[in-house]
Amino acid sequence: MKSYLVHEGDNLDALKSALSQTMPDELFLLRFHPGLSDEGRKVAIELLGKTTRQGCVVLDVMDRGTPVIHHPLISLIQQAGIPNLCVAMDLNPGPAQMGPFEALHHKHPRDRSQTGVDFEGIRGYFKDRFQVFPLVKFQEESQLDVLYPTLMVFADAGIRWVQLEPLFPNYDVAVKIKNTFKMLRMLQRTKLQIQFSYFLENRRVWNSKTDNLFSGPIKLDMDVSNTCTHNCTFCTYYSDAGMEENKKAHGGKLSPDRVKLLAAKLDTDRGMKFLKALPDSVEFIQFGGIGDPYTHPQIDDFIQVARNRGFTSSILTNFSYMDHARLDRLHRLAGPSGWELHYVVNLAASTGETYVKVRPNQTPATFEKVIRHIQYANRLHEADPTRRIGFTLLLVLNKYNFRDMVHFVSLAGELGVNQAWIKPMEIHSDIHKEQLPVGSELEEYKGLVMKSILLADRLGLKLHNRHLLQAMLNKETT
Amino acid sequence: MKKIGVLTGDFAIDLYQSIPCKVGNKYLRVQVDGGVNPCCVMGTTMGNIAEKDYHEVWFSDSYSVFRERMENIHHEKFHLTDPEWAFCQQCPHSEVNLETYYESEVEKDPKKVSSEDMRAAVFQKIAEKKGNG
Repeated sequence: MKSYLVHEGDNLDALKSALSQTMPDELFLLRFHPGLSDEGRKVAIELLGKTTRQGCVVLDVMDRGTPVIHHPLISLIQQAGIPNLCVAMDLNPGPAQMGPFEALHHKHPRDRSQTGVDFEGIRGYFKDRFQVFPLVKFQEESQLDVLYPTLMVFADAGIRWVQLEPLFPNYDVAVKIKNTFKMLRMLQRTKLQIQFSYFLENRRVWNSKTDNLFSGPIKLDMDVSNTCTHNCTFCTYYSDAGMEENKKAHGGKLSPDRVKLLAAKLDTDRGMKFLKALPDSVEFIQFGGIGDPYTHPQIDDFIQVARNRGFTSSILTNFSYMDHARLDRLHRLAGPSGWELHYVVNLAASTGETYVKVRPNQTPATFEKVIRHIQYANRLHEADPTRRIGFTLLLVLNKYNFRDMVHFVSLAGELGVNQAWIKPMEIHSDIHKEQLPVGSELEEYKGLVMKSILLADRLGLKLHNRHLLQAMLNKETT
Repeated sequence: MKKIGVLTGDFAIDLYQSIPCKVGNKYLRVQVDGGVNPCCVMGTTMGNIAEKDYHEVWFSDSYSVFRERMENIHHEKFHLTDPEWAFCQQCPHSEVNLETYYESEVEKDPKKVSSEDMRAAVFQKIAEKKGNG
C-alpha cells in the first residue's frame, strides 16, 4: 500500500519515483491538495494509470462544486485504466446534507448511512467502471455518534475496505472509536477492513489507541517448509545430536512423528489463497520454517505474490540453494533499499573452516558458494541501482564459532550487507546447553562481543539488536 | 524466576514485565500445516487456514481470549509462575510491544524517533504511571 498527496508546484518527480517503486498488485492511493490545478491533477492521473494496475484516485464527494458522479475527472480516470475510486466524505448526519445526492438517495431508500451521502448510490452508479471505497472524514467528537451506524451500513452492503480520517489531534475520542470497533466485532461484522487514512501522519497511533483489529496484522511469519539439507550443530531437529536423541528414544530410527514433521511443507494453494486475502495492513512478512524455505518447490512464487502486494519480504535461509538465474528473477522483485526483498542468511561462520564445524555435512565449498551468490546479487545492484536484494548476515553464537565474531563483522562490512546479526543462542534443550562457551571462554566471548560492536561502529555497519548485545554485557551470566 | 543469561539472548524481561503484550493485534504466524499461532513462540493455534479464511481466524474466539489474557500480562505476570506460559520469558516481540505502547501512551509514530529515544520515553512513562499509584 502506498499513498501520495500531490501539491501545487510539485514537479512530479517524487510521484514518479514513488510509482516506480510500486509493485503490480499494490494499491496506490493518489490524492490532490486543494490548491492543485486541474492540469496538475490530470497529469498525475495519467501518470498513475500508465505505471500501476492497482491505482486508486481519491476524490471528494463534492469536488470544487461538482458532485463526484458528474465530475469531469471521472472520464479521465476511466480512460487512464485506473480501476479504483475512493470517495471522501464527511461523517455528517441528516438529510439536509444530501444536496445533489438526494435523487440518488431516493433510489436506494434503505440506505441509512450517516454520512449524509448515499454512498451505495454512488457505488451502484460506478459499478461497471470502478471499485468504489469510502473515506470518512470527521472533524469533531460529536460526529462520532454516527460512526457506528455508518460502519454497519458499509459492512452490510459488502464494502470490504473503508478509511477513517479524524482531522483533529485529539486522541480522547479514541475510546469512542475503540468501543465502536468492539460493537462491530460483537456483531461479527468482521469482513470489513477498516484502515485509518493513509494520509494521516499518525495513523499507527490511531490504530494502537483504538485497538483496531479491523486493520489487521502488520507482521507475519509464514512457515513454508520443515525440510533442510544442512545439519547445523545448534539445530534442535537437524543436528546430529538432535537426530540421535530422537533415534535413541525410538529404537534406532527417527520416530514416525518426527519423520512426518520434518517432511512437512505448506500447501501451496492454501498458502497462496491466504497471502492474497491478507489485508493491506501487512507491512512485513518473513518466510521460514523449522527447515529452510528454499526446500519448498514454490517458495519463489510465494515471494512473488508477497512482493507484488508490496509486502516487505524477508527470507530466513542458509542461502545455499541459489543460482544466478534465480537471483536474476529475484532482483526484479527487489526494491531500492535492500529491505524490500531481504535475505537473513544464517551463515554461522566467517570462514569455510568454521562453516564445516557448525555444519558437519557441508564443505567449505558451500560457504564459498554462499558468499559468491551474495556478491553476485551485489553486482546485479551495481548494474541496476534501482533494485537491490538485501542481506542480513546471521551468526548464532556457539562454542564452535564465537571466535569468528570480529571477523564476521569484517566480512559483513566487505560484502556491503544491510546489517549483521550476532545472536546469542537461545537455550531450548540440552543440545544448546552443550554448545555454550564455558569457563575462561566466557570472558573471551564477552570481550569479542565488545570488539565486534566497536568494529561495526567503526565500519558504519548496522548491527541488528545492537542495544541488546550491549545490555547483555552488563547482565549476570547463567 | 529464571535467571537472565548473558548467553541466552533473554534480555527483554524488564520491558515485558511493565507493559501489556499486544502481539495478538499486530502479528501472526502460519505454520506448515496451516495452523495459525498468535506468537512465534506459542504452540497453541487459533485456527487453521485449511479450514477457515483469514477473517475467521483473526476474529476467532480463541484469538480474543488470547488477546485479553496478554493485555494483562504485566499485571498478572502469569508467565513467571505458569509453565504453560513460560515461553513468554523468551519474548521475541518486545520491540512490537514497545512500539505499540509508545504509540498508545506517547502518541507519536515510533518510526519518527530513534530506538533509544523511544525506549527512554517508554521507561519514563512507565515510571510516571508507577509514581501515580
